[in-house]
Amino acid sequence: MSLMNARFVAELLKEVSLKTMLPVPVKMDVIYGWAINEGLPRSGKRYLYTGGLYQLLPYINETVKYIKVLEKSSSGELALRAILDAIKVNPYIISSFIKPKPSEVNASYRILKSISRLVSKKVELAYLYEDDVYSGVLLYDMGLDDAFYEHAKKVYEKMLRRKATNLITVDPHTTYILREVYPKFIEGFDLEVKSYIEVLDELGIDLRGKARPKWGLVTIHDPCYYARYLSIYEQPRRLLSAVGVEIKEVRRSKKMTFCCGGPLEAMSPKYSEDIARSRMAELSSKSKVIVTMCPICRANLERVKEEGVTILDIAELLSEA
Amino acid sequence: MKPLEEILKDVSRCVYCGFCESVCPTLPFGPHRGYGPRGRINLIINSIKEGNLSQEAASSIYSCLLCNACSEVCPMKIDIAGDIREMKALINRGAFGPISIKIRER
Repeated sequence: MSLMNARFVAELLKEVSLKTMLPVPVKMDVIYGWAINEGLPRSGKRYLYTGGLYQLLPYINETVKYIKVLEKSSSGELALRAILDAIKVNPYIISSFIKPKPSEVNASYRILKSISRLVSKKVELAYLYEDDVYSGVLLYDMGLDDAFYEHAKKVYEKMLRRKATNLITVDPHTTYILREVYPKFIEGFDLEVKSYIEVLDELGIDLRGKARPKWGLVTIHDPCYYARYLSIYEQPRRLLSAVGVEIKEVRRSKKMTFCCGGPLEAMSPKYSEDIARSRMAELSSKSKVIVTMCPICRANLERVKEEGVTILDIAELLSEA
Repeated sequence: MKPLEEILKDVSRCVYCGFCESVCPTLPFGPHRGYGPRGRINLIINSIKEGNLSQEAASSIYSCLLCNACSEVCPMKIDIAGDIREMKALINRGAFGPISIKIRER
């Protein structure tokens, strides 16, 4: 039984976020590394804003593993205290212990490149590069409102400096926090925030020649924040249909989707896994190809993947057509 | 941030129907009913009224994924996940004193 103190996770998250503007202590090039050879302009009106969640997730999960090892060591809580004190001085002190699998990092880069290329065909897209900072969404979810407010102010200042008017986001959590929560915290917040899924749905996806769906029948795992908080669930289905992908729905889909359990991973991995396993069983009963559109869902379902199951991000599927 | 009274007013509308429990992902894998929406809502009501919160109650509040499936089926349209998140913020601000939070599994 894991009894990780959630307050410790919260405190660690707060310290690292306030000092580095990221939830885990990594260098900023981890966030924009995917875009290096993509040739996106540095300025424009519409910016791709990833908020870093896709890129950071492999690092977040490694940090959690590292904390677990410390927690289980003989000195347990004492070791965690010592790490927290050290992080207050230098957050990068644990960076060398956080080494995710290169395949996971590459997968997130591949997804972002697919998204950026899909959107670039339709709109003039600029990128924020070193200003593509993390949104602070985990601070908000953990109820660290003061830290979130400090963070959000800095993020918004960066957007203003880049003269952005429209943001195109890539994941449900960042979309939600920017569109629904930032305006409540930041006075005068004035940015149009749209998910790339909404943008592609509005403008129509480009079909280069005849679509040949390689994957045939798929099932969709709707992320809670798209489906319930933002009512984005028909759009991905329209896009998949447009590229000739057939969908077999699970009972708990669209507005009544079932959470992957991901947000509990940092505080109780087994609990999180139990939930993911039950969702995996439901999804794989409909198709061995599961389509996700959130990096947290993707990582959490990947962990409990059954044999013969493929998990694909919707961007990978759309860019294949 | 929602004021305490506003949270209390919202959660107090609970009619104990339990519809929310049928869709909650954490309840089936948690150690008891406190790890489900109806349990959490009632822990919030009690803790605000009495001004204190046990470690176990705080932990069950923290175990919420904020997935919001419960609010979809709530006949009273209580902002369940929203209220739970506000409680987390209150706990962090020390509204109930220093509490250590240890989420249990079944």
